[in-house]
Amino acid sequence: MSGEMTSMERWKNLLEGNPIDRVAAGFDILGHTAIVNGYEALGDFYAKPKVSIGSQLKAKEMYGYDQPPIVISPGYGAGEWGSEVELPYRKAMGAPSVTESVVQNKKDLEELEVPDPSNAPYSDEFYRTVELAIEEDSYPLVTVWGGCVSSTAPMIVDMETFMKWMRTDPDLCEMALDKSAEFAIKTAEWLVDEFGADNWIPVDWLPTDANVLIDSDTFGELVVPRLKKVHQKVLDLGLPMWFTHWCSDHTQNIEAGHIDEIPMGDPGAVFFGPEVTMEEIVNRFGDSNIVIGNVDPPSFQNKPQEEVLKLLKDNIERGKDSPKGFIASCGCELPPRTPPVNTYAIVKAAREYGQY
Amino acid sequence: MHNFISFVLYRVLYGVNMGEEDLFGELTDAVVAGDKDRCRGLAEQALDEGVDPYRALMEGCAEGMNIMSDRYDEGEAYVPDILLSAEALYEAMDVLKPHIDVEDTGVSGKVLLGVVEGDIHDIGKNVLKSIFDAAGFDVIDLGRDVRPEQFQESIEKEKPDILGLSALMTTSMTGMPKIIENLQKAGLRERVKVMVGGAPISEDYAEKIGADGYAPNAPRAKEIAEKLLKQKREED
Repeated sequence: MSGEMTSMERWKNLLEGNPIDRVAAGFDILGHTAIVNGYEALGDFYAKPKVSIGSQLKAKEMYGYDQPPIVISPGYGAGEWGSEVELPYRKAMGAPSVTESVVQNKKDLEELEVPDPSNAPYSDEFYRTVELAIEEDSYPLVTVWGGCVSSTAPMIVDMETFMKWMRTDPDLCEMALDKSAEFAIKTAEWLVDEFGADNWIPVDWLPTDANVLIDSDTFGELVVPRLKKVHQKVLDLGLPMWFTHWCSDHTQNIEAGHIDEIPMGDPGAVFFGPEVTMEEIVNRFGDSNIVIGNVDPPSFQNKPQEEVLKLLKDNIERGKDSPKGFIASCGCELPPRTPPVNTYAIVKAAREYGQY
Repeated sequence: MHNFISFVLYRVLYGVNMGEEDLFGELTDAVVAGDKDRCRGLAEQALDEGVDPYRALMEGCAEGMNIMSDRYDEGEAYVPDILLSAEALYEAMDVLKPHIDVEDTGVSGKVLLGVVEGDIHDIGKNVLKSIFDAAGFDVIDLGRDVRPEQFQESIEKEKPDILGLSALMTTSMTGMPKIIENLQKAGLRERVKVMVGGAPISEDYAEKIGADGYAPNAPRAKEIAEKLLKQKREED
């Protein structure tokens, strides 16, 4: 292929399964974009649509990476339900934090009504952020989160309470997961009604579903049926695919075959933590999914660029020939305080080691 | 009511004079099963029968927590199981502790624990606390999202042997070197061993920031803490 594609050409062709000039670069770059735009803390990035989308588009242009803006509600999937959320206005915070979950016990859960996403708390800010990203023709990734532990605890139910219920009252976990799934589906329906289904992509994140916390049997029984439902219903609305971040260690969920069961679109995009080898990801998921890179995140924050480039080179070489394509990336959110030269290393490595 | 029922049930099932070793075994099993009502009932039974409460705690409950800790380390138990076991452990501790003579405990050391500022992810720290409690450490838990100054103030006040710092985020982990630096400036660094842990933390990072120990998970943290404590005792 001659000449370098524009970022949007590369991204769209990758998602449509067409040939591209080189591997795409960058995924899950969020809070870092606010820091390189001069914000000391990340509060405005999560709270204000213009700051969020503006920071992401400027950083994308400056570095030359391909990831479009990612939209996460300032309610963080928790404030919408009435949980208390602290936005990251303190420098030490890397993301919004759920300070008190709305459900502390069985009675709270039974009485909890699934909110209407169009008029829940934070819905205006969420709507305006999606709208702004679409107005900029940026083809955003929009968080639609439901049916998994990560969208439920601590977003709706106190984390330790939910974890204990897994053993003592799994029916309560199912009730909470069902409510969370219903909210996600309603959110996608609302967004499709407002913006259509051809100018944004849904994304979800599953850190607290990882096997460092829960076993694969529990994941299979409680989460898989609901996550399948959410993914399929959203695809049925006409959205082409899902980006899903299997954050941290999902090795046992992979081995149990649970992740194969989740509808992802054609292709989908899978994003695993560095705990899973790139060979395993490509072999198991590469035929039907775009594979996203998974270099150890703290390395970006703590190591010199030469070492980060080596890690990226290795990761790209293992993943670039994955049948549905590859995106060079850090294996979780890029640490917000990553030195800019290490963020640039993602693009540099994609150009140097990821040519087709 | 539950406590009374379990107390009566155990009396019926095992008779009035269950042997000490059997009772300890039952306590171990109850902690492993995460059965807090059974734990409380057995702890009350231990007191009624004049069993040494410290032995009931350490040879019964703590052994259960050790088993769970090993199972977690080997991928045979998960956070929900550990949380339930910890709950059962604390249920028995509530009953037994007021009857334990501090001088009899031979408590091995004092540990100050906390999740650093900006980070509310405290499940790992809570699991660690229960394992440390079961191991006989005197544990002071500062909770989550703890400011550097709070660590310093608590070290001055509580004089712990070990400071355990936990972080789950790359943004909050940068608070760890600041805490260590503050301790150095305040002349407190030599008084306390510092150990760090959490998902983004590595052995290299621990060394780089001047920590004395690193543990990849809660069960390993107990071994490291015991090693550091031994070191400290030798230095003192």
